Amino acid sequence: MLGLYEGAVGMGIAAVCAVLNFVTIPANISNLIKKALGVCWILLAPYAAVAFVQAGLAKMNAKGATSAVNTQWVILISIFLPIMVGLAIHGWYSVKGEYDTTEE
Amino acid sequence: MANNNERSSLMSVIASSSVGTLIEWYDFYIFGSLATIIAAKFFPAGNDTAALLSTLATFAAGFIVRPFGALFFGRLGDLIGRKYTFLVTLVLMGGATFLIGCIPDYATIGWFAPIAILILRLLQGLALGGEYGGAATYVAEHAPAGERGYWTSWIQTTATLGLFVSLMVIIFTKESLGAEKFEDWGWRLPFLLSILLVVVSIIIRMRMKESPMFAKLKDEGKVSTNPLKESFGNKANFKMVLLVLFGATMGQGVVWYTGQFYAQLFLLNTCKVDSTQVNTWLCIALLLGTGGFVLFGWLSDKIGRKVIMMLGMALAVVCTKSLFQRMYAYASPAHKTEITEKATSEVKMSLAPKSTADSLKVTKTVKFYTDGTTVTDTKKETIFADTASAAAKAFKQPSPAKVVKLGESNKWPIIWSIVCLVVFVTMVYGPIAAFLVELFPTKIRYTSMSLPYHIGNGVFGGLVPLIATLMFEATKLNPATPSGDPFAGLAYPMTIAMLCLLIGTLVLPKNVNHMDDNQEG
Repeated sequence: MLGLYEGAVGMGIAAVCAVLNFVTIPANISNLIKKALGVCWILLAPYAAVAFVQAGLAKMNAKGATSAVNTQWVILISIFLPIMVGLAIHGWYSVKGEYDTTEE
Repeated sequence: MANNNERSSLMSVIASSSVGTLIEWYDFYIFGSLATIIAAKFFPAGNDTAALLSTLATFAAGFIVRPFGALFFGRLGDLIGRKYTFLVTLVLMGGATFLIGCIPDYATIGWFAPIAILILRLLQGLALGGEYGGAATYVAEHAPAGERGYWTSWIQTTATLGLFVSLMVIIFTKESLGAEKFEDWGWRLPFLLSILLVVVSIIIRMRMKESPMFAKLKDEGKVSTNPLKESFGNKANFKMVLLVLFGATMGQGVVWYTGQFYAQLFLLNTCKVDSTQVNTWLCIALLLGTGGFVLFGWLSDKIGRKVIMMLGMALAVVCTKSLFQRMYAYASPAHKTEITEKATSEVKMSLAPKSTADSLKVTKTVKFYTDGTTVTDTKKETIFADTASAAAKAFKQPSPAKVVKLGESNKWPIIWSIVCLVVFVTMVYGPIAAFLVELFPTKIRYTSMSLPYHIGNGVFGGLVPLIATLMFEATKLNPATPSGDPFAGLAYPMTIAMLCLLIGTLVLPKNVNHMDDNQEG
């Protein structure tokens, strides 16, 4: 996942996004994309949460880990998990059409 | 368009708000910039409890207390008003900073010292969490429709100028006193100076009036009775809070921290460039780039806020790695030609600290390069009189310290690279205050905009140095890159920026403006 921004994929996404800011996407297409992305966020949130917790546990269980390292990761995990819940809720709202474009 | 009287009144509002916010950023950054000295004075090395307190001071202040401060003071600001709330945050920040400068160190008062520092740092985080939302809201609520981007952009300059002023004060104090005196007691001066700045700012802020929009709401008895519930319990508002976090502030936070803080860390830790040189060049770059906040704030009034922020994010995703590669190319001695005949090496022997028999061997090697760059390697070795002793066996020799002092020809290419990064920061950050305040209704504006702002900046942005460093260190485990991939750390901020760009572009509304609606339903 990290590193996705590099090379043609990242450049392409960034370039397309930049252009999209200057054009109006038809509402039906735009709403479809929002729903599809919503599914992505719902899947990404638990994946990122698990990956982050695993990384934290690996650091905490590593040889020579101190109480300072453990505290640092407990703080990071405890603040990161609710944010991932927020991302999943955001995805859910997208799928439900809460962010749908209604004008046009 | 505002007439002359209105403009002059607005300028006084901007000046009084900005000065206070700038001082708060100054106070917050001073601690970060002097963290190494503070750690040595208050958190003794080799002690687990001290290391734990130090970690709490570093992490809890940014990641937990800042968003909590946003909720606490945001609620207060929506209940009793903007003016009094951000007066409180200023007093809290100024008082905490001043006291940090007064506290005797660990050697003098023992455990009370690190505990007091921890508490004061947490208070700083709390105050910062409340300040920005208040200042941005206060200024925006004074500004006329169609000019909010321009007027609030002055508030946006304060974070960068706060960093600039803190670096300048540190450089000036260090150069005036000399490194030894500065590390002994001179580091306290930047903290003590804060009280003067805060007193001036409090006097100015006391003269300010309440924001006209909030005052009107209060007169009409429409002030929110429970801003937290209305902000996060109301689905229509909560979904906007989430959208702002994932579609704007998250990306803005990582672009900002990469452009200003990670660039500094990269030059200091990865390229090993001399700290005074890095800080001075960063100051020049900040000064050159800061005008961008006002320019893009003004432009956002003309062509829209979202388009500028998203373009800034897109440019950051596309260009950041190339700019870091450019800095590395100019800063790394590997790309330079050494004048081998000029190289010097000297060895000094002395008695090892806290020992009567062991010796300390210091080997200092200086290499010279054709572009005027010098690289100094200092290797300290403790030579034990009794090599078979337990202390000798357990002792780990420290790694050699390397300092790269770059030649003048490298100065401007590196400064311009940082300027480009700062310009991206100004594009995403310049219009964001106006964008945020316009998204939320007056009665819950302070609360609603503060939380996503501080999660985006404090958490996503604040994690950039840590995660980027971890990623860089992880690449050293790869046999193909034993010294690590210097650009590996950029993957975290740029991936976050890319996701935010995607959400922002496709989902963020272009024209939601609750400020010019018939207020407050």
